[in-house]
Formats: sequence, structure tokens, C-alpha cells
Amino acid sequence: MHPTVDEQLQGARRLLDLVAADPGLGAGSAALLADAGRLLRRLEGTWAEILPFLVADSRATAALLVDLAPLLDGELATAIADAAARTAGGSATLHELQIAVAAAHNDELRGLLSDAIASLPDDEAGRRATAAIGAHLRRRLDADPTNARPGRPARPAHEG
Amino acid sequence: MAEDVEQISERIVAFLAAQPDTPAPRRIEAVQRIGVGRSRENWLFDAVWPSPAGGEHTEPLIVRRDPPGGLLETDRATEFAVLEALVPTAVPAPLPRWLDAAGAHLGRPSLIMRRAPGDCDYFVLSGPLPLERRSALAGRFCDLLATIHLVDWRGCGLDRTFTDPGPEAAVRELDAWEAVLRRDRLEPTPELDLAARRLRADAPASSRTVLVHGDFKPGNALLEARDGTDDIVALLDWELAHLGDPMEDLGWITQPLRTREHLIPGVWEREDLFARYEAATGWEVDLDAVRWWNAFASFKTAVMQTSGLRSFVEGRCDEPYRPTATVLRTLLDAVGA
Repeated sequence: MHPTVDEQLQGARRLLDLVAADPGLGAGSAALLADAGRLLRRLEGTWAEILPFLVADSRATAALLVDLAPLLDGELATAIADAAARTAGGSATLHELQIAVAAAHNDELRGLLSDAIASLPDDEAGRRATAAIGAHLRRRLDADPTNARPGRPARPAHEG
Repeated sequence: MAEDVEQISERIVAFLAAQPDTPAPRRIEAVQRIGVGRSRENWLFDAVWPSPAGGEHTEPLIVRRDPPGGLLETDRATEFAVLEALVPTAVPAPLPRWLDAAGAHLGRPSLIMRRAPGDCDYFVLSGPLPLERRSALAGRFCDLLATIHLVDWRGCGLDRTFTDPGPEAAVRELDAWEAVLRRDRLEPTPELDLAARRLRADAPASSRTVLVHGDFKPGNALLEARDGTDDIVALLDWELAHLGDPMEDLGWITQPLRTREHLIPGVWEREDLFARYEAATGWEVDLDAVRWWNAFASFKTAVMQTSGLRSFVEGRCDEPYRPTATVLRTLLDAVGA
């Protein structure tokens, strides 16, 4: 099925690189091309891994939320149970393997996690829960394929 | 599409001609946009005025204009008021000249300042200058921070611009940046919500109120070498200035994400900075509070990146910002999550 997604991304980047090599290019245009190239490089290295990442993270987030539910009020606990029931198990359906559907469901679960963080009791059980949430979020940062950084010059921290 | 030199030149000429207290310049020259100052659009130009004794004189100026979008949304009128208040103080801030608060003339909210000489170098303390010069410069940066914190903010009228948060400075800042987060995020951010919960639980009380710069760093300073000494000619970018806890600026400059900008390993460490700051101000550095402000600095950085992401997605800025894994991991470390 050529050109593959990778081949198309690589082709687009190659064309941008040709423009970037033009000695008559202004500094502003060069900066815009560099940003466009950076976005394409990020996509090249990660697009194929995003869907499995979202599905796996949704499963992990749903499991964490189910564990947290006994500490939360009834309405939030009910919403968690509902969202967890809609989370793909071992075999996802074709519908669930659409990336927009997977992303929306992951957002829903992460939103519930934010709600849970705001609602946790300020006691020992709450502290254990926040530690578990912290560990989950660290694992997610490590697993997120879009966090892989293509080569780029060092920058001040607030620019990432 | 960005405005070109001709368009902005026409705007500047018309704006200066409309100033009631200033004669119109004969012309403006050397208009160019510079990349320094990522949060604002900066245009350099020279205004040529008639001299009273005949002939003409040139004033180097800079327009600092709001971009359509980016990391920060701040108020040019507030920044102008801070610069005006600092004129009679010992703080080397740019001289403010004119304000177009609503952008009626210059297209977007803008201020015009006198342009100072010197160069900007984010990483001057870790760069190729001899170690003695870098070490001396690090001390001067610390002294400058102390000078800012020692400003008599009531005496120079900053209490008319800002509210004194008193002992609750930390909570007020957290409130303000959480509001920005709620306004700008495009998706749930449990990492930041968890951090904010931890920060709120541990917020320190401020022992005194000072003028806080909010983004103190070598990258916001203009440096000039004179007789082998590196002078800080001007400290720029006052858009995040506010009244608050002096530990906030100390937490900003000693945050893990910025050590390369502010410290020199083995020569100018946190402890050296704190000792010199204590000597310059006579105030004790509260290490627990600084640690909280270190964590807050990562939170603030992540919120800025969140704002930058929205600006990029909405087509208001060209840089593809996003909260980075480095910043989020540093934040989770700092809050002990």
C-alpha cells in the first residue's frame, strides 16, 4: 500500500529540507520550516505507536479508577464504573480501534482521573491513592510515544 | 501572515505623530524584527527627531507588541506601569516611552521603550567566558535580584498597580496559574491537577512582600563588557512582575530545569547564591519555601506550555509548544508524586 504513511511523511520532510537549503530563504521562513520539519519528524517516529498506546493507557487508567472508586462520592464512582465498562478489554472492536474514538475515550478517562484527584479525601487512604496516581502518570509519560524527542537544539526550559 | 517592515513602519510613524506630548519624528529608520523575547513581538527602530539647537538627533527604540498567541497572555499597560515605577529606582530597566494599551495604532497592544545597548545570552554563565568573569557575573545577577526585591514598591507607586497578597502570596499565585490552566487546556491534565493538589496542601506563608520579577534569567538581561567587566545594562521582560514572596524568584532561578542558566557547577551553586542573597538583603532564605517555589516553577512552566499548545492548535503561533515529558517528570518529582 505504497506510498505508506511513513513514506509520505518522509517525502514531505524531504521536500521541506530542499526548500530549507535555499540560500535565499529568509530567517523567518527558515524558522517556520524548522518547526514544520520538527512536527513531521515527531509524527514519523511515533504515529504507528499512538493507537496501541492509547488503548493500553485507557485500560491502565480504567483499572486505576476502579481501584479509586471506593474513596469517591457516588456520582463520580458511577461515572467511573460506566467508563470502565466501555474500556476495551483483551480484544478491541473495530470501532474502538479508530484513533479518534480511542483518543476521546482516553480523554474521558483522564478527565475522570482529574475529577478523582480533586475529590480524594485528605487522609492516609487519600495519600496512598495520590501516590498510586503519581506512579501511573509516570508510567504513562515513559510509555507515551509522542514524548520521544527528535534531535533539536538545546532550548531554555520553558520552551521545552 | 506576519506584518512586514513597511506596514509596521507606517503604524509606528502614525502612532508617534499622534502623541500629544512629543513632536513628530522627522523619520524612523532601521526598522527590523528581532527574535529575542519569545513571548512578545519585538521591533527595533531609530526615531530621528529635530534638535532644539538645529540639526537632529536619533533615539534608539523598541516596540514590544503582543503576538496573536504564544506562551503567555499578559497586559502591556501593567508592564508599562512597572517600567514607569522603576525609573527612579536603582533597577536597570528599560525606559518606557509610549503605550498603545489597546493596540489602536500599532495593531495589537504594545509599548515602546528606549533601546539599551548590550547583548542577550541565555547561557552566558555556562558559556565560553573565562570562569572568573562568569563567576563575577553570577554574583552580579544575584545582587540585581536583591536590588529588585529591595525596591520600595509602595514608595514608587506599585501598590496602585498590584495588590499586596501578604502572607498568602503562594496560594494567590497558584490560584492565578490554575486559572490560566483551566482557561487554556485542550484536554484533561491529571499530571498538573495532581501537582496543584500537592502544592496547595503545602503552600508556604510569605514572610514579606516584594516586587517579584517572575522570569529572572540571563536570557532577559542585556550585557556589555567594559574594561573586562560584564555589566548588566538592562533587565528586560517585566510582563510577569507582581508583588509577592521573594522566595518565588529564588525558586524560579534554582529550579532543576534552569540550573544551566543560573548556576556554575562547583563554583556558583545554590548555596553560594543563597549566601550572597542573604548578605545583600539581610533576609534569611527559607529553604523549605524555596523548594515549594522550585516545584511551582515547573508547574508554571507546564501551564505556559499548555497555553502555547492552544495557541499553536488555534493557529495563533507558529511554534508547536506542548507540555513536555521533561517538565512533567520534573514537576512530579518536585511535588513528591
